[in-house]
Amino acid sequence: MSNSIAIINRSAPYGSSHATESLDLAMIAGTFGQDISVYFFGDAVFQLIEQQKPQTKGVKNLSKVIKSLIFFDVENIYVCQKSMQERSIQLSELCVDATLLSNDDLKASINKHSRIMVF
Amino acid sequence: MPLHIIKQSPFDSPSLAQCKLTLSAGDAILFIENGIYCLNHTDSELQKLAENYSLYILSPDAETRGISNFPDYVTAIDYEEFVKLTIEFSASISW
Repeated sequence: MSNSIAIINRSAPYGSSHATESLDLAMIAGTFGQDISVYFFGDAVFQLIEQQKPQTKGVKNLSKVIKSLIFFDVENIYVCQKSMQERSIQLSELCVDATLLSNDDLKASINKHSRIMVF
Repeated sequence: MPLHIIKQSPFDSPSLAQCKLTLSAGDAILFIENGIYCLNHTDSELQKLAENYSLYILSPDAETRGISNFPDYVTAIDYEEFVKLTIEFSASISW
């Protein structure tokens, strides 16, 4: 298995620092040309909502950060279909065109990677 | 007649469910921080709750998270109104 990284996000965008830490890692890995995929499930699907407008200074707008992942060669972005349905979020509300995966496809896709990290 | 403040997402915490067990007539519920996500959770049954209790949502926290178009039975408030609420009610309980 080639040296590939799967980053699994399961935290809400602004409740903790998990979200920003995970995206920082994705950008760094992308910069170094790593084969990387980013997964969003659970409350992390809220990170993908387009209309975010953080009120306090110094808080990064996560939807903008996620939209910039493409410039770091991070193209494989997946989102869990079940988590989206549970939270009544439509694909059209997302800030990037992420690939929607069912639970089985999610498992299969994640397990293709040699390193798996959860935030 | 306390003001119940829900600050955790219903998807990874039972805050709202447990709060419901303690509700009595005249109480109010305010959603802040990740509690905003209760609006996206079908089990919250906010419409039913709204029949007996007044429901509020802190609009800066909702805007941060890109959650908008609230149902009419939830009142969006800002920080000033938040303070007024805490004075109006006998106590504030954070969940």
